[in-house]
Amino acid sequence: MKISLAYEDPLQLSETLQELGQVTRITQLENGEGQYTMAHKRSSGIAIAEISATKPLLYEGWGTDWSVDFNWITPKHKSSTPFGYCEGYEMSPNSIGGLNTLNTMPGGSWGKYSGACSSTACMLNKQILLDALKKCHAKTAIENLSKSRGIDVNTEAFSQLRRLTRRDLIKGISNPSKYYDLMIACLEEGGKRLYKKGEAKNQRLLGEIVNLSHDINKMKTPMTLSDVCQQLNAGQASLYRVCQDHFGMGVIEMMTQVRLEEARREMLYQKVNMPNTTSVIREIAIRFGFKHQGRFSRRYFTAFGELPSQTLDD
Amino acid sequence: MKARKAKEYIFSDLLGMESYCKNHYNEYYSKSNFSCNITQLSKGELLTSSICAPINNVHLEIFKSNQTLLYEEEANQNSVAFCWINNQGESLGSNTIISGHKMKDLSIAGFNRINKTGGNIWDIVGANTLLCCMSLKWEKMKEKIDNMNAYNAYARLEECIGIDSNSNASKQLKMLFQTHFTKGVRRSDDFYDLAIATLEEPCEKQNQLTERSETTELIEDLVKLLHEDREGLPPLTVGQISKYLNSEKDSLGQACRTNFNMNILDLIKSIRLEQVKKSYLNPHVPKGLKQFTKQHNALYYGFKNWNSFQRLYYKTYQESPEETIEKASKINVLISDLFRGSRA
Repeated sequence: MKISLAYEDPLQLSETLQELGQVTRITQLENGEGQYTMAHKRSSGIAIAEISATKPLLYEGWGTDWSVDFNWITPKHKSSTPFGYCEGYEMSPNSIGGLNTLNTMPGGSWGKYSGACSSTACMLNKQILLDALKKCHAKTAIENLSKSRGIDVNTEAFSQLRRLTRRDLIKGISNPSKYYDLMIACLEEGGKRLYKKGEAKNQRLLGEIVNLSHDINKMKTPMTLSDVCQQLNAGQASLYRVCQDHFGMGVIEMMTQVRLEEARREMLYQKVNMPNTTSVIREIAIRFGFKHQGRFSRRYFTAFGELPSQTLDD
Repeated sequence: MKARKAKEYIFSDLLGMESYCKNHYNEYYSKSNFSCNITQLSKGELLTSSICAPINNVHLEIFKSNQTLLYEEEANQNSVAFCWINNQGESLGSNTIISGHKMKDLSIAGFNRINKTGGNIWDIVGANTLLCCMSLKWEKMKEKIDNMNAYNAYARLEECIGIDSNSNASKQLKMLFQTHFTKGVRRSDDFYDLAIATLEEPCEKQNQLTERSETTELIEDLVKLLHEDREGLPPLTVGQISKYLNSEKDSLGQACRTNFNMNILDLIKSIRLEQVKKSYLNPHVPKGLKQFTKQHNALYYGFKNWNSFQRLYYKTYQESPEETIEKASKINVLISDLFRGSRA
């Protein structure tokens, strides 16, 4: 039995995630072709998925109206840089992130994972989870869940949860209630990490940067650094420091990358019934803030290794 | 680390200079695929020199030409350029422009050579201007920026093309550069530290910096478009150019006049004339074949009337196409030439 499906493009990952109710936009934060695999299973009140990519990916728009979307990572090899961030919470091999999806609006969450790890999502039904937590008077778990973005768990329950997920991704989910039990144990036993100086502020700023980057209404106009500083009420040095630390690039570079990915997504959707390649490319370029088609095509080529016309022709 | 002795290279044609730039850059970045285009914009015989004195991780060069030149190259992801003019104490003014940043005594520009999402750079180097150029490796610079938490410098590099700086750091950087060319400096770290310190200094007035913008990108694209050697090389009209660049004819014309002091068609003519000259200089084509195809070469680049082309060519380069072909062939000595010499 094939455990996971291989994908050619992060956009295909988005499409599969959509089947799980996640309307997520994925941007590859490094140029060049990557390799992507995804395994997923769902059952009543639960969905699990594991994604592995050789390039760093930024996920925006994570979260549904019915679930709390827990996240953890599994290192593939050693890395000198952090494996990833779930809503700004630095993910170590013993971290569970995504707790904030209890409170955020659907699609209000984000994550970024490096190519050195795979990321696993475990979506549990909000209501069932909350009822179960109340029923077993798991006070610490409730507090962790309602007030934290992430926790670190060093107990057997987390190891069991990982093993169960790995097995079920192959065989299918046989007993959803096990996930609830194990997750409650993890939430109860897990601890908050002490905040580093300025970490809470950075997490807020990161969320705002990700939101602004993906704001479809703002994509039409080219964004300068002073525009971004003004919109986020932040200094350019803070923006660059935070972006460099978390995304490995400058803020404008990151925004450009997101826009290119969005333009590519649009082009792939439109290629089926395009009337005229040149006008389609020009129209899409303008829609995503690239006023000059030539510059857009060159940037597109740098990012994806093919011209927009080739994407439409394929 | 040892400072190499400065070497001076002199060129009387721009094909030779392009090859020199390519070889030097490839030596500096072994994995690069560098290429550049240089065009003579003013009229007269050309004499250009480059004094080059690289040290480990820093490429340093002083450039001078008796003609105004237009330089174009692809932006890249691994090198940052810092360029400034040196009037040697005389306040002559300069018509040097680095990618839209008009160069004054305090200017340092060329930061847009690094462009992680693709682009190109262009410079106009004014006649008889001393242009000092320093290339730093981005990987090393980024590491230093991270260690120093110099994120204003990072932002400036990514968002700006050039600045006018009167800071102590910029003065020291220029002095260090000068010292290197007279005495030889061995430590590359000082160049990096001073460059970062220069970028970190705030610019109080908006007109002290040129930001990367739609306008600067438009000119970059225009310069790139005019250099493209597309199949068949059809003539370009202003209408086609403005359509391709998605810009109004008037604003494009205005931008062209402001930056290049000529209209678009004259700029195209200068670039294509230079391309014809380079085809005459091509060392891989035999002299006889070049003489045979000289009119076709001119036609390929859009010069339909041979007589008016010849006049323009002579007016620009102070030599005829035949003289250029003849001069280029002198580099190679043919066996038959030797035979003729012995008989005489």
